[in-house]
Amino acid sequence: MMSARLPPRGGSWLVTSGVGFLAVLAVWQLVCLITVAGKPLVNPLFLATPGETAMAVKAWAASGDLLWDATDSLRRVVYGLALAMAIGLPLGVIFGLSEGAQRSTRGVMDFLRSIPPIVVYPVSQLILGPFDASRVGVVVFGATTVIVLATSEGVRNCSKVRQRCNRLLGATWRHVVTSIVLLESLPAIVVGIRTAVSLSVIIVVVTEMLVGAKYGLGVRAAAAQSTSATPTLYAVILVVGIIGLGLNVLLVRLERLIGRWKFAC
Amino acid sequence: MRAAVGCRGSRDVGPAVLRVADVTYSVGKAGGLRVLDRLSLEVKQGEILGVFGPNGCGKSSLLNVISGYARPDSGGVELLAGTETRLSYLAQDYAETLLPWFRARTNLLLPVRYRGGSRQEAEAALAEVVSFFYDPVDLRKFPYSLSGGQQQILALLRCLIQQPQLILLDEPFSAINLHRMFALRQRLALWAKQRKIAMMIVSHNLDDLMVVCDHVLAVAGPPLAILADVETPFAHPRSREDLCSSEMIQAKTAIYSST
Repeated sequence: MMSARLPPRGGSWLVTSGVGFLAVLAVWQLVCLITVAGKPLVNPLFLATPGETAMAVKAWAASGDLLWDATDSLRRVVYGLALAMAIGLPLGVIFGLSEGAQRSTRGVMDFLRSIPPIVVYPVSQLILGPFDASRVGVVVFGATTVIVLATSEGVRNCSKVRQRCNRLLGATWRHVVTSIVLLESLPAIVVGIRTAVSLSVIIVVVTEMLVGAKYGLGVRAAAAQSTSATPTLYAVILVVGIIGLGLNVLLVRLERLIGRWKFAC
Repeated sequence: MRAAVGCRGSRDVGPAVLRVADVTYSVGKAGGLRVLDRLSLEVKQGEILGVFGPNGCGKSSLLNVISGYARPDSGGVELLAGTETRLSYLAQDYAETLLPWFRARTNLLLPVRYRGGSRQEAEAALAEVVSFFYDPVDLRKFPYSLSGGQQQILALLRCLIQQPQLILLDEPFSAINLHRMFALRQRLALWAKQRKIAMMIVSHNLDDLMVVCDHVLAVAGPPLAILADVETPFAHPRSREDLCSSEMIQAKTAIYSST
């Protein structure tokens, strides 16, 4: 008898991934403990211990800033992503369904994707002002191209037989898009959105480090650097990582929820 | 050889719903294999026509051309029925035409959804088909957790839900087990006869056609040529005994001897 290997579901993720996290934590602690000729292997100015980092996170949370920093950064990411999806998904579907639209825009899309989004930040500030709008603008610029590409590729690879047959069954173009193409290309779209999420977090944190924001994870990192608060620097890295990971896990869960038909056999 | 074929005799059929006139069709680019060569035929309202022939003789190409999946090089395909939903086609790649993200029930009711039908209309259509065919599949399942045969039945019943005037069926029973098949064939013929739906069924299994069809074209090719047009005996629904009767064997012999 063959048993099909299915992706793990539900709570097991934390258990299996926990082993890896514990290993990394152990190596980190070990590196901090090693001393060579009475001096630590790594200068404590460069590397905080896990304990110091934890204390820094605790102090950061206790001051109330952590909540503001995280929510402000997340808000920028979510606004930017939502706009990028609102623009990118329809464009991607159109490019995927129309060979002509795909071919005539391919060069432009490749060009736009080749520009590091941060380079656009000064222009974005010029147009949208020094506040949140300019940061969100850069996120939209960076994330939209990623989503367009993933969506159009996903839609292009959809079964033509399926669309043709359902047209004969009476499906209008609206039906083909909403009942067939979007669901069939869902896995590809989710991969695109996950890439876009990671990119958006990078863009938001970097733009926050540059100028202007009162709260934000990037603001905290820049402040900690200027005061040589090494544990706080590591605390920021930790929190940014956790937020990015959380968003990714959330998306995988969401895909599994929508795409549950795949696991029903 | 080509022949214009209609339904003869005093059979209970109406005006033509499909007219294929002088159709030529080649596979691939110009100069490709000529599969249909000036072929003409006619299907009348309520008529059940079988097409029996060997693999690769152009049977499926004929259905592809009629359904509009493929464009003929020359000649005309004319659908003469008046209503908006005129044609339904069960192709050989039926499994790919189901939508795996919807349960069997939703898949079955897709034609109603596509034409914007009401909930009551959907319920009525579902109840009618499901009871007529003795509850053939578990409608709560997703398509890919159904067996191949159940998927095929689902796709076939979806054609009926569409309420067309003409149904094209390409090997409609190829994945359905023998035990199930006989009742299914009987009921399909009865369904079409009661509603005056025309059907054109392509198969290389002659028994399928003898049970369901009014008459069977024996074909060969490519290019597709009609060798004989044989009427099948007995009124619908036909029984297992009918299939073994001397009249039936005579008709089958006539078809086999022409090929």
